[in-house]
Amino acid sequence: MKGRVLVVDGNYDTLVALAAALRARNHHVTLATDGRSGLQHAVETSAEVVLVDRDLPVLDVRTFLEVLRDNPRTSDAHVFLMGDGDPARLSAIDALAEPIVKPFNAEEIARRVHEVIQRRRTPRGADDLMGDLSQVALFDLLQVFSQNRRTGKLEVQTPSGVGAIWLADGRITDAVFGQSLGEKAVYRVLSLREGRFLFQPEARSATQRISLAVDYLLMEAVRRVDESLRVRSELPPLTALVYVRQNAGWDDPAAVAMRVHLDEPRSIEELLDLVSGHDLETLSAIRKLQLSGAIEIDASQGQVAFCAEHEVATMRAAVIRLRRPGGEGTVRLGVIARNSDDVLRFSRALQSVREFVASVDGAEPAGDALLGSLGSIRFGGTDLELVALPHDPTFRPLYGALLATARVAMLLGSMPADSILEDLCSTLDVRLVHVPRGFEFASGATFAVREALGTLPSGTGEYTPVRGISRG
Amino acid sequence: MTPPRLRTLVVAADLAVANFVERVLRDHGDEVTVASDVPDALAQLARAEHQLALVSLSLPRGDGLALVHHIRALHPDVDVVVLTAPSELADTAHALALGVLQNVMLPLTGDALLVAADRCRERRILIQERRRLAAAGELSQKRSATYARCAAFVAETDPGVVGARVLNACVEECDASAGALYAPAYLGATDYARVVTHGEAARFPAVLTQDELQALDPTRSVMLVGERHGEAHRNVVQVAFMGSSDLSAIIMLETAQASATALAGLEVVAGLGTAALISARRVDAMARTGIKDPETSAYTFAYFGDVAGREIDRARRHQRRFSLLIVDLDGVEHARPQMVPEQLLDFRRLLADALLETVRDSDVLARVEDDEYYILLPETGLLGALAAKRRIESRFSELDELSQFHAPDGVEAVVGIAVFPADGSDLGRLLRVGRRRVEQSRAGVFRRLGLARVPFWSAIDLLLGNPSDVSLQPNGSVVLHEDLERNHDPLGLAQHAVMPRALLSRIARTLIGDATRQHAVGTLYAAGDLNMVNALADAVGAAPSSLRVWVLGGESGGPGGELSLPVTDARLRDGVLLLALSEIGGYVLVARHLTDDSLLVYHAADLDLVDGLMTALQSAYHLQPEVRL
Repeated sequence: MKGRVLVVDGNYDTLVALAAALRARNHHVTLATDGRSGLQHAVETSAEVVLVDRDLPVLDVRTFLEVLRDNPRTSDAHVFLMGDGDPARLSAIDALAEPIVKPFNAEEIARRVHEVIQRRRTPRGADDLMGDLSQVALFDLLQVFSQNRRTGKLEVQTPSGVGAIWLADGRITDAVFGQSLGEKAVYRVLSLREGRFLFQPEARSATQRISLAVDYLLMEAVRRVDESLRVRSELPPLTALVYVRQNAGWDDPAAVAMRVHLDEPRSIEELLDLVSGHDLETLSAIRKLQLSGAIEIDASQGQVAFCAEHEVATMRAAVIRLRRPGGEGTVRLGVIARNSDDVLRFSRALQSVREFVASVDGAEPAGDALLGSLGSIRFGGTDLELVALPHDPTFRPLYGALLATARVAMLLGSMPADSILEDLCSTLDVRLVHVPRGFEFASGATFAVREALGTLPSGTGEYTPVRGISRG
Repeated sequence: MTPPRLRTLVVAADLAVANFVERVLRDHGDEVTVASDVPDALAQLARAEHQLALVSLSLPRGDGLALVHHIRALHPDVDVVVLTAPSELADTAHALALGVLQNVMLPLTGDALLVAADRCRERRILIQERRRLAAAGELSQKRSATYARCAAFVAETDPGVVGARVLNACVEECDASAGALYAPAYLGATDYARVVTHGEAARFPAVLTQDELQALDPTRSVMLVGERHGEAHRNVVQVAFMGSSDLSAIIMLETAQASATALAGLEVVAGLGTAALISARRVDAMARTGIKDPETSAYTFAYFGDVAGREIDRARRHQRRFSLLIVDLDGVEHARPQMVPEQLLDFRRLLADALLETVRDSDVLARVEDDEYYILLPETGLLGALAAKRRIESRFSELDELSQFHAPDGVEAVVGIAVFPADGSDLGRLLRVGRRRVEQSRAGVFRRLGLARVPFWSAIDLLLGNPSDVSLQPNGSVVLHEDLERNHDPLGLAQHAVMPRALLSRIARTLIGDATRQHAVGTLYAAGDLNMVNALADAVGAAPSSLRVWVLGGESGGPGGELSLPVTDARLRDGVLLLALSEIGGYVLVARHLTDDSLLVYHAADLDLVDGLMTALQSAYHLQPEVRL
């Protein structure tokens, strides 16, 4: 990607510094020391990017820009206007030119120029490709991308989670789905049949976890998807809990890997996430253990719906009301907790909420609690992101950064009144909702979120858990 | 005009002549006295006022001519007619030379006598007329001086100036030694306070009582209300300025000279002064509702409210944004009382012009008070508003012209920003938020520690504290020197913390992800921790970030790769720096190693601090300010 750059400046040092930085990025650089020869070079090379000094010798910079824009060969060149002092004064000379304040760091300018050239090379309209999986199968999409040697990130959003597959020159380099990474994630993503996909060209993965050939991966995925469906049809729903019955018969390597996590009952879904092996092997092992009587699967505990079908419109309106005016991104709900146990219990309870999608890179420990996105509650085309924040006062500056776009925060667990926190939240214009108990149950967590949204039927009062079973 | 009746003195030795004259003139309605010699004649003239003297030149010893001489000298207002015999022609000529009105030849006839008397009568009328005209001329001359005085204030529009000029005119009119003007504080007020004074006016009451105001005679604008006896005799004159429905003002004067002319002059001043006071008050009221502030080039608050209302409508309809800056000028309140009105006006203009220089053409600047201005920045988000704030603050820090005024401490601009719609969607709320931000900025760490005047690394050292201020306890906890409390925000938005090293990457990634999810443009600088830098590179590589991310101190190809900026400074490697500023806010984290795994961190979400540090960092390493608005 070689760009044609012209630098016009009466100062020799400026020219040399910029030329070196730009040539290091492999651009074709033309230099000129005065306006007249600058214009000549600009037209000869039909420069894409022109960096021009405000105090230009020979020709006034306004005339320079006027002539530059009049010539069809240079009329769409991106202009940077260099000069010292206030950038606003530079903008006043020419509104279309991007100001650069002298003295500058040549490397920074080179990257800005590079960005401009990159942007010009990316064809318009090819930015993002979006679609629905019910119309185009992921399998077909990946085949086409692979054949066309495309680079980018294919993101898939479904009610059961967010996944992504990265391609580099047509090869699959990495994948993420929920907690799973690499090959396992590819198979999981490819098993999806519904949801929306988004392809972002030029995005690259940070790490390369996959080095298998695309054809092999795709064929293997098809086989595994078919097999898994067959095994799953013999098993209860994935939310069913697995209990250990006897300790004999755990000889299969997949079963051994699973046993470590089964000191407490876990759902099949959780096991699939926790075990590093591929889903098909784990599912087969579960089926085998169930048949041998080593485990018992309890399907009685089902999922909780965040809201009923007829409530979706009301809830969506409530979520949109929580959006900070002017904000464009997801709607955010703060979750403040004093210890990580509370957050973990809350987030585990949310796993049983049908509309909840856990985030790809979950919250991480910060002080005694967790920091980061827990995931989103997704329904009716809207997302409600839950962001965990530690209650610990030393982390309060992060509130300023992370709650800037939120309007409500939940305070998990019973804790004494904290007037400083109340003041802080009122300064940030964030409403605090106390959730003293019940958030460790799916229904309680739902209740708490709905209370934060302000969509509880009036007079419901405080939540009291109906069932005493906690999975945590 | 009825012919004046004359009092005539007849001086004749011949009694027959005297009797004849007496009889003729009495019949005609005049009054006649008779004298037979010079002493008697002069005695008669001295006793009563005469208009005409008939003097016979044939008095014994030539006394006739002597008497004419005496009368001309002693009573120049008395006309003299001489009665002469044909033999006395020489004396007649002599008498005429002395300025007698006429001579009548003897033997006397009634007609000749009456003609002479009428001639005298005519002359009387002429003299009276001339006197009257002279007096009128003098009066009109005085009038034009009065009008000229009034012209000085009729065109003025500032009520304060009009008041002072009106009082001056009254004082000049009657040469008063002291005077005071009483005016109501606002239209319709019932209290009249002494607002402008001249001379030793302290002797007048500070406030007029209700009774005094009620006692005013609305039909007479000028009244002598009393006398004062002190070293000299003094009259107290009251001039009322009667508006159509109320009393605009009252002036009290102390003068030695309360002549009719002076009082007439005061009446003129009262008439014109009323008009001037009323119109000045109207102009004042109109200025409050008008577009431009009459004293500066700024707009008025009323117009500003109007524009802001329209801007809010527009922004709401087209989903646009705009920002509101509230500029508080500290030091103005302190400097203002020491200035005379003209100086204050120049001072005001200087401040407004300094602000006008910093705003763009599309921005609307309004003056609310001498030390409070509002600026509306259309199509501008937080980053653009911060750039404007920086321009204003730096303009006021170098305002050299202030040395002409009594502002020893200079004037400092404290700016609060409110952004539509993030901070509110109606003007009242935006102004409230802006006001609160002004207070926050004034009390904030950045201003309290005076970080605007120190270079970047000194500021970091001040914030983080010296290593000696921090002591690590055996149980792993950290105790800070109490002086470092100054660096903390009461709400906890700026403070120290001890953090494990692993958390840095987490925070950096969260900031990037957050800004990206909210599509907020901005800049992030990072330095010092390899894991954090790698985490940033991962996050930026995985998805195009809306933040422009720079890793300082790295080498291209090294950690951070594409993000790195080759800045050579050992301090960048010693500690940790994370500085992010975007449309949705700012966050700064600076840290120093405590142990291998834990860091002493100072972090803050204080916008003033983040913006100030970012500006300092950019100028320290010649980096480009954020200009994507």
